[in-house]
Amino acid sequence: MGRIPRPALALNTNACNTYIKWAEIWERMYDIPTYTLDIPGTRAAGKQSKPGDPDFENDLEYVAHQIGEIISLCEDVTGVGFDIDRLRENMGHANTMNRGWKKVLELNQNRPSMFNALSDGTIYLGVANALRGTQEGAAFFDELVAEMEYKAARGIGTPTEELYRLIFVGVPCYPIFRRFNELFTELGGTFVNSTYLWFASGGSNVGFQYDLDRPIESLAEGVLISVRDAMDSMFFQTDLLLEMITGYSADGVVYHPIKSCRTVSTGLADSRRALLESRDVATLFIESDMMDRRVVSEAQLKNRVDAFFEGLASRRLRAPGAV
Amino acid sequence: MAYAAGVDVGSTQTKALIIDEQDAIVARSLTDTGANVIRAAEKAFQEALKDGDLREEEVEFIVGTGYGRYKVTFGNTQVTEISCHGRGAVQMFPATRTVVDMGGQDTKAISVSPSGEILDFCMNDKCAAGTGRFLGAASSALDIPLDQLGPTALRGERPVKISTTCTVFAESEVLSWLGKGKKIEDILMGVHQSIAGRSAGLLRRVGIESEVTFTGGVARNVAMIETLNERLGLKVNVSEESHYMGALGAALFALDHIQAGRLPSQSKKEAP
Repeated sequence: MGRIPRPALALNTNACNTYIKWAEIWERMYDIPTYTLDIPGTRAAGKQSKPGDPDFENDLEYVAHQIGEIISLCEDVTGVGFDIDRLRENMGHANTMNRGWKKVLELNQNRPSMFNALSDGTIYLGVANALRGTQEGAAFFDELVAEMEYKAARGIGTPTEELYRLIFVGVPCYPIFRRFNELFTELGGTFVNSTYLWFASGGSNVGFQYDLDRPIESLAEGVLISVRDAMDSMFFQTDLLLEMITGYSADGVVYHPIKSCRTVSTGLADSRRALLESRDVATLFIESDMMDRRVVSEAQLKNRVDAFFEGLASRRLRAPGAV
Repeated sequence: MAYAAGVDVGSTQTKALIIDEQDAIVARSLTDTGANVIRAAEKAFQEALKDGDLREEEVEFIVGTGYGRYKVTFGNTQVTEISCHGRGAVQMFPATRTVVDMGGQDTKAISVSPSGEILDFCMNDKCAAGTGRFLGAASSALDIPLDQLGPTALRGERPVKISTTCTVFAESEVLSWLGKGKKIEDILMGVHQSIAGRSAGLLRRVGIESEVTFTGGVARNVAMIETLNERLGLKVNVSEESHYMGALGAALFALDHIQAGRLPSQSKKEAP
């Protein structure tokens, strides 16, 4: 892939306030223009607008107009004319990747799960984000789907023992990425899904398929639906988690709020409380960070994780039909 | 007669306790943890053996607990102090549904099932305010021995409001109240009320279901018991063994292993 070239333009969405800060920094560092694609969020809890709704159609027009502005801006900055066939080609690859990402996530409902959503899943997420719309990215996801289907058909799970199926909520602990995951896998825990794989993929998990016959309108529609889904995943988290617990036969939910991203961490304690009011499921609430090693305390984490697994074991013993 | 032992290596003190096959406590010991955690665990265990006039080989299974549980090198397995305090509390007070454990560096709120299994737990994080260390800071600032803090605080009639949420700053806040001419007993009662308030907050997060059992070293403090009762609006259970509750729970888990016949195939020294 080579080195990342010096940028000529910073383009970001408002899906996360950090993106806007990043773009501002690039603007200052490289003296380049920046454009924030403003995706209107959901206006009221429980009121997600859908295609055909007046609110959705207004929002769609707003996003489509911005895409027109971005095309003009790119032409001005690069001096290269817009090529709609090139856009179609990239969107075709993005379709393959979106379809593959959705399929891979769904396949992990199998028992045993084929991949660990916290470790392996984050690597797949990196490919989904870094190679989006490319031939290489599309080929990767085609192969990944084939590999996961092969494993699912043969009952091949992760290399670690899957005693407990867990769901991860939040952002991974990158400063001790491997060790953090081992705190769970060493005790038989496997993350079968993670909310990070929804919101950090910009909503690609919904598997939106662009209509290549009307690329600009479809791009606006796809961006609106996918990015809004990523943003809304915080508002509708409890409902989504309840579905996920059932669909993925999860034994427990691990909440991991972090210091450096309040956007996805705020409200997790309330989310957990809301979940527990609806479902008797084991939960763990642990805090660390995505980047700041100073607020990652492995001893504190391990103590809580160990106690969580002792609780999981107790629950299993108490479960009806337990031997 | 087979014996089971629990060794609770806490941040401040290490406790060892030995029970017989009928769950009866036959020996106990307490030592400061210090810098050499392995030695503290060994010392506590050896002193407990001496206390019960027992030989090491008579103890068939040992469970390590507390922050230093993995340093109980002669133990057979480890269980977190969260599970151990829950188990110990239910053993002493069978109707226990909520446990508040105040130790040297952390305070835990634990929700337990009738059989002592952990349903939920919550602890202070990244801050030792509201723990035994908070009392230690007050003890140091006021030059009063730890065991006299409670009786002194109970003489307080007009407790001050301790606004700090930081143990490190607690000392300077106490000194500040002294400088304003406040009585030592009023300051100390304010410290206790501050800790009780923070503990009640933790307990609310797991749900306060009666009966509540108070464990850990701080449970020996009479003023802490009183302020906690007042804050929670109920009477907490306190055992004479409260300080040893984690070690008791660990010993009970060890006894489970013996009774289930899950004895180690190798010698205890070689067990993980």
